[in-house]
Amino acid sequence: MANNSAHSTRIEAIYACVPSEVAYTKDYPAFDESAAAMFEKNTGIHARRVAPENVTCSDLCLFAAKALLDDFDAKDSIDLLIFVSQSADHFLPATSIILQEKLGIPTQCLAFDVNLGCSGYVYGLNMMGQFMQQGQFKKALLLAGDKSTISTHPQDKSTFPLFGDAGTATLISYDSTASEWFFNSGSDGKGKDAIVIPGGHSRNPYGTFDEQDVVYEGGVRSLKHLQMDGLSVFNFALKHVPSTILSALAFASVSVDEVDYFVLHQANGLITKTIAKKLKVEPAKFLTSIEHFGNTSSASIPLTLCVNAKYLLGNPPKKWLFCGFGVGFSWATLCFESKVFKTKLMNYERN
Amino acid sequence: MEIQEFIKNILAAFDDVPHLELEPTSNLRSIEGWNSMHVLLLVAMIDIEYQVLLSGEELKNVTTVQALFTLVKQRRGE
Repeated sequence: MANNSAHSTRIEAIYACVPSEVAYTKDYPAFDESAAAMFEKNTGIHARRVAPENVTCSDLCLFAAKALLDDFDAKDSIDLLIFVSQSADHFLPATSIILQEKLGIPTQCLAFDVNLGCSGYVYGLNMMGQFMQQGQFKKALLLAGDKSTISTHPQDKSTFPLFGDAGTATLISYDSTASEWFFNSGSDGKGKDAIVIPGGHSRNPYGTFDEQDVVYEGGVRSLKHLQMDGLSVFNFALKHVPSTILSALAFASVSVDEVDYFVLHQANGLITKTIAKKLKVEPAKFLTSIEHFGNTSSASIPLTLCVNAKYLLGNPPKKWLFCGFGVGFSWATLCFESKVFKTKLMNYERN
Repeated sequence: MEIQEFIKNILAAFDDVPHLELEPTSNLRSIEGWNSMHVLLLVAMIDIEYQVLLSGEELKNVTTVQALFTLVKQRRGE
């Protein structure tokens, strides 16, 4: 697995935006009462936020980013914008470029999309660090999120009650005094079928496959819906997440006990609890947001930080461990020490 | 590795199933409300307690507690 580092890069603030519409696990019609209780107990998901039909991931990111840029008066100084998502507005052009214009960011700005899911936020931070440490970019915006509910079939029990929608914006600055960031990352395409939307893109374009719903043991879905092999994903997480965390910590010369807080991708509560046990870390050190927001893909780490803002406060600087993992398979861990950064959690409101 | 302790660990993992009793010959798939979440709970328990990560392929043909116990023992080289 690959280790790399970045210096002179600092997170200034993280804002998250979620839809106002709440879907409760207990109300999911495909579950009876006991199935809903078991699902909620083990995944930890009490409720999720679901964006309405005409609200996209980029709308949620835009809402968070506008507030962030206003609060920090940073709109005119952004020279790098990365949008991490698997629910872009269009096949083309890149959503990041549409967001550059909507945010009023100068055209002298490097903007591009990154097509990653649950590992995407940490990959985004890694790319930010590589650009920023050269000192040629001074202020950057990392937008990460997904509208996963657009691709889940309402009667697929293995995906529909799991995913929520969210968009986030992270303001990043060049700072020669910032502590070094230590990354460990990996990829394994053998997992390509474990989380996949098989139809609708270049490999299987619309018109070339049967779009009819089919019944399977987990419910109902078609080739145009998100399909997930839960056990394969679970096995992948238990195998790779502890080892990438330990690799990043070794690279950073930080022990497991020295980490103040672990912020893992919020895949499901059972994965987080099992990884905590494997690492022999008290569960309280693992911050969570899954209870009220479900699995929010690349938004889950920044959203979790916004939900747990009280843990960001105070001195001395805290040692953080972020770990994203999932679709691909793809995984990435960041270990770093940071002073306080501002956070804000907002409900989406239509302009 | 003892089967009684193994059964105790399964019962602890399935603490949401009321009045569950298991014998070595019990069929896991006959447990009331059996679903994919039970499989994840089993895999997690076996990984934590016995340091063995079982794949879907390995679990496909396992039906009884005894068969699962034997599989875990084999994977541990016992």
